[in-house]
Amino acid sequence: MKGWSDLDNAAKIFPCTSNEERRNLFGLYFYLTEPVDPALLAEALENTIERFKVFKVRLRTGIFWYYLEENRRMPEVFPESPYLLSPIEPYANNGYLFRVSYFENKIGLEVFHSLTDGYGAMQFLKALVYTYLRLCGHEIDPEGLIRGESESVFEEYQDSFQKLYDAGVKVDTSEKRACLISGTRYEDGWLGVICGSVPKDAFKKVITEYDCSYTQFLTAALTWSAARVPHLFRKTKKYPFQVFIPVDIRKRFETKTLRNFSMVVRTSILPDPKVSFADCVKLVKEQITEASKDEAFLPRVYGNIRSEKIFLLRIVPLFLKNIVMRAVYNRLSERANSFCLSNLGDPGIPTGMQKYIDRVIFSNGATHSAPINMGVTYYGGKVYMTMTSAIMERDLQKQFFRLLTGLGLPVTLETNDLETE
Amino acid sequence: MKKCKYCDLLVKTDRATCPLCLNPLSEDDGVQEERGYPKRQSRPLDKKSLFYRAVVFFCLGSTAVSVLVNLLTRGEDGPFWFPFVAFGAFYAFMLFRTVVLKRSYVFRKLAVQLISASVLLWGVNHFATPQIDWAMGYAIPMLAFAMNLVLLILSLTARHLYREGFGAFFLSQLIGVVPFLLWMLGVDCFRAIPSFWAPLTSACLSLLVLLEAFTISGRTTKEEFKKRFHF
Repeated sequence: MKGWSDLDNAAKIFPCTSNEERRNLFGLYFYLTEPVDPALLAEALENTIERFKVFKVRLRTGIFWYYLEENRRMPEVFPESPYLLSPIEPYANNGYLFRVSYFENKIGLEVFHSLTDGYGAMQFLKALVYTYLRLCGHEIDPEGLIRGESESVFEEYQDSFQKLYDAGVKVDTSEKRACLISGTRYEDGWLGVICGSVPKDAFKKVITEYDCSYTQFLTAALTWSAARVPHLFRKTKKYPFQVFIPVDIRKRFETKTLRNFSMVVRTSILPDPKVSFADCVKLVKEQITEASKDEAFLPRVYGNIRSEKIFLLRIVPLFLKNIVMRAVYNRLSERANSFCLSNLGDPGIPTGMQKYIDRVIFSNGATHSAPINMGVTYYGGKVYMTMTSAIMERDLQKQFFRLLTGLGLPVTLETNDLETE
Repeated sequence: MKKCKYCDLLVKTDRATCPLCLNPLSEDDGVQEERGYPKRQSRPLDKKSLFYRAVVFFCLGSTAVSVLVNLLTRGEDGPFWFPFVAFGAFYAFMLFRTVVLKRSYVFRKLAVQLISASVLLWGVNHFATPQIDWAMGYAIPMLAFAMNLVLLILSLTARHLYREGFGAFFLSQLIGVVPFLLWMLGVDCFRAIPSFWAPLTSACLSLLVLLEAFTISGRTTKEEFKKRFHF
């Protein structure tokens, strides 16, 4: 990095649209088998950040665009706040766009989406925990799975969306309206967490029966559950339940970038309690397969890139851009998603490191229009499904987990106590 | 670990009810589980926000009361003194908001002080002694001169401050030139500036500082311009 860089194409929208109710944060948490030593964690962070220059930045405001500037200060570690994914105060964290926290045997990384996506954050956290465990005196073979052990390459800083761009292709910027979940919000910006874990073997058996992938199964389960809670949709009942599914496309387009680089697949099904779960799976499978084809999602990516290349838009001062982008986002994108399901999959942790890590959790922050979201990870023979919610109603979660137990899956729940003690 | 017989699942919790259906959970199996999340505590009172609201109340309240009292007690040819209170309140508000409450770069704080103090001085001058333009003639240029001298010393001794407060630094220099420009242009409301030595001194310093920024600190300035103006 030459001291500063532009935000990548996907990241540009987040600084303009972030506020107390739409924080654009997500969190990754590693539960270790032993209590965390904050001093060693701080040392590990200082070592790791030097390798991950993509993270060693702060957000600055230019006349026309936001940009990322190299941060000369060091990041700090904080005791975990009970308020999950609370906004990152730039001055409290030396300007960093992420926050590393600890609580008993847990190490957390909460990240502002302008910096990176789930994949990039996972690479950073893996490297951090690896360094921490080594500082604790454990000898671990990285097995080529820890990015911090390989050299930093230019491609890591690259906005890989620009490589995809083809000016000749017709773009698609259309967004269909979705039904939106509404309910009683927690006070003080509290986010309730319900994390369900299911043995992966048992889960695998069930998805094999339905002949679908984990993501397809979970999307279908959410859609089926949504059809049973129409009272949560109030005025938007007539619109389809649309699940927003970010998909990592690094392997498909062969890039090592650590910045945002994912495409979006969206399923759109009218909530109908008469539709059986098997039919729901079939519909979701068809839609995801269709939407994952290059010709289906690339026009949307091109649309986003093209809008940032329009000369007239580029020369508009940032404060005006912010107003316009916020209005467009509120009018189109925000109304297009009922729910966000993000499946990070297996984090790829070296075998020698696994004995020190009990579980890996991914919390996908709730937004104003999609107050309940889900993050999924597979680790240690279990599938972890973490539902983060900004509203007190748990009907959707109840339907979802009861569906899983109804299919014979043994579910164990963990929560952050949701309401006050 | 507890069990919810209604949802048919296990729950790791200290609570007595199921987090999904809110029905009572079975007795704990006695296996000690570690806590996954910190216990919820009510958010500490945001003292800054409370203080800020108190300052806003004080500033608006004092202005409103002074307007009312001034209008009610003013004789036929009595003076309008409420603008002094209003300008003072504005300055106090800016002082608290930018210097005391807001955590921002030193240069930005100084620039905001320069602007708000200039507004205060101009306001007092305009309402108290409109016949002599001492604010534009002496006070504001001297204030800008002092501020820009401080900014120059800070920028030369701590380069990171210059980089961080680049925008505020240039804004301060421009303010330093404004009184002299107004005097030169003979703008109507400023024609009564009594002499030009103070605006000239301030403008000279600002121009020298700008010259320094583009010569001695040329590389940093160019880089900062590129960053901030890239489109």
